[in-house]
Amino acid sequence: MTDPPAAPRDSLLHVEDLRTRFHTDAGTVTAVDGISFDLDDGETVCLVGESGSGKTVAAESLTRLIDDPPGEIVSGTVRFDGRDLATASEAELRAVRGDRIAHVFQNPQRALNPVYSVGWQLLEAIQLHDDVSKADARARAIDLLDRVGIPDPATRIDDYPHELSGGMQQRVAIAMALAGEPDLLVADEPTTALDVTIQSQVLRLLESIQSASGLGLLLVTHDLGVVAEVADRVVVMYDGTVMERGSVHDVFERPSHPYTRALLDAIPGRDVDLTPTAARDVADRDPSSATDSTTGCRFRSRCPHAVDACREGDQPPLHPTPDATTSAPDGARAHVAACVHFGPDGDPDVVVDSAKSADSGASADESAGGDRR
Amino acid sequence: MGLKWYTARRVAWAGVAAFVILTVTFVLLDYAPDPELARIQFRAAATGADAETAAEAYAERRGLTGPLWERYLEYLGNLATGDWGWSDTRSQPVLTAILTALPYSLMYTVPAVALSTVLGIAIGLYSAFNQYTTTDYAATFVAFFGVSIPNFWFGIVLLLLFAVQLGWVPVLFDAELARTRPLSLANARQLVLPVFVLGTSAIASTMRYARAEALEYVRAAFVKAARAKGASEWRILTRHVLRPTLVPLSTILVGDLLGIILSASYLVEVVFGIPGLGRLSLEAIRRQDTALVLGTTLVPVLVAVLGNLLQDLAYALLDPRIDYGDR
Repeated sequence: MTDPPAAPRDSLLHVEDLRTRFHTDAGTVTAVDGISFDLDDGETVCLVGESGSGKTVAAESLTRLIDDPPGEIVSGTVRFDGRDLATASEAELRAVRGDRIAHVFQNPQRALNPVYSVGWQLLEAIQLHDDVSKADARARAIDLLDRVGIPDPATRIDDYPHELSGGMQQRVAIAMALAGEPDLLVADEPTTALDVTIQSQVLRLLESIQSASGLGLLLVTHDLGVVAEVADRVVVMYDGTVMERGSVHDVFERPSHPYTRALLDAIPGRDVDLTPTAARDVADRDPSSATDSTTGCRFRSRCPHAVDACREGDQPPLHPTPDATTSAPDGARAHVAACVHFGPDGDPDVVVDSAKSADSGASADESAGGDRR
Repeated sequence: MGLKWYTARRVAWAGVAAFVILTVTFVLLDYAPDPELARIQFRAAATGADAETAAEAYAERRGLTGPLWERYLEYLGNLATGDWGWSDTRSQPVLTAILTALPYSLMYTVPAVALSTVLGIAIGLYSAFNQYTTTDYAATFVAFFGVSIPNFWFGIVLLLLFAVQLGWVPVLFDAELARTRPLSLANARQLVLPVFVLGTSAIASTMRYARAEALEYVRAAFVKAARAKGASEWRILTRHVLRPTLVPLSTILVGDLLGIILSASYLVEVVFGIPGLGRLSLEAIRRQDTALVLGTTLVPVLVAVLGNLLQDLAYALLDPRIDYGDR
């Protein structure tokens, strides 16, 4: 809604004003409320946000994997390779899923069917999109397992998921996602359910796959450390909307939206205080109230820089940040923040400079609340 | 340790279970009152003879003398060779009586079980995939209707409506017809109502269980993953949801089967006048034909042992996580 209807330069994936609702007994919840972003070939975009910010729903809305009902994509476009997936037919979607866009899920143990062998599930993924013989498919499956770093793949292919460790299971899930040689891999918290040591291995695997095959990677995560490591560009989500968007360099070096600043502050061991103490409870926040009665900025009740203008209207549009000129100039790739202080009548220095003046004494005891899932 | 070894052990266990049951049956038989013996003793007492002597003579004639273990071995041997005792009320061997009655029972239980299993699972899965839709509610209504309604009452009402009022099916079961032309259309017509009555109750419970089990998997992450791979809904249903659903369901199927054979068949056979196992057993109980009662009891017992064996094997085949190493 806010982007200048950026003549969709042919990016691989162009999401615009995507809105997903869930109809529950307690009322309608708009889990994703008009988000827009782009992703190019071979690019890694990270969707960042805390639990309940709608990032998983956003990722699963792309190929309409959300449960419908109760979920429903009410508006927006998901332009992928010239087609709008938000309005595509079931059959068209099936042809895209697994073949062009593949998904990796958070918990590998649950994402693999427990009653079928690894090989069966890999063969299914291969044969759903490619008319190959069983023997050929099996050879390809073994090759895939080898590619994702499973030792002795010719034997392991006959194992059942419960016979593999969590890290191995996620490797199998990644192999399954690669079976159709997709152009876009959507990985939803692929490392969250794994041991810390395994996390970096899997992350490195994803990176190497990406550089080898040049696929686009949409990585959903709450882990800013991961973002800093792999992202090209970052989309910060809060309560279903995009708060800030820009290159990883811009977002980490010049975080603009107060929420992004608070989020970065929550990383343990980061010395620079970006926000006054008032906002440092970001880690202890209640999950956003699920009702749909938002007016004004969603972050205002917890924002140290809230002013009267924050109450009015809807979430502020994504305004270009002062450094926008230094990054790519066009709308889809610019560094933008949904905050009134960055608007035409606002003064970005209220946010950006406040840390220096307002919060000098309280930084001695570092808040330890950053390590949340 | 593999599937073969596991199978061998399960079969051995089934043998042990059968052995225990046969032993219990023998002890019961030994202590059960014998109306024939009572009659002989009464007659002896009435004619002035010694009741004890008459009883001993009777025992001698029946081969009931000797130590318990000897009679026990003989009993086991007789069972194994097909000698299940003598039915006094029917004047024929128990096994003959059972084998005569069995086909009539199978004629309606086999179609009823087959139909209710297939339809029950199908409707249950459909309901799970379309939870809280009108069709789901309709299926749920039918299920509760089937579970709630008593078989015998439902049978009578159906007979009144379709046989008496509409005349579409015969009122009385023609055993002669069933015996001579079991595959004829006329036989099918007289079996429709019993199959329907029995089927409605069995289908209902299967459906409810299938729905509940499938619901666990319909929203499972691996189903979402299969969808993300590009699998069709039909494929997801028949491959990804059905198989894990079948694991707990196989338990229920065996139970259903037993329920039908043990209890439902009594009522259905009485209402429809089918001379099957249920009627045979009922008559035997009413007329205190001990040997026949035990004989007819052994049938469902053996079905249970066999059913549990098949169920154990089904578990291991359906779900690789079930470890058959040390059981």
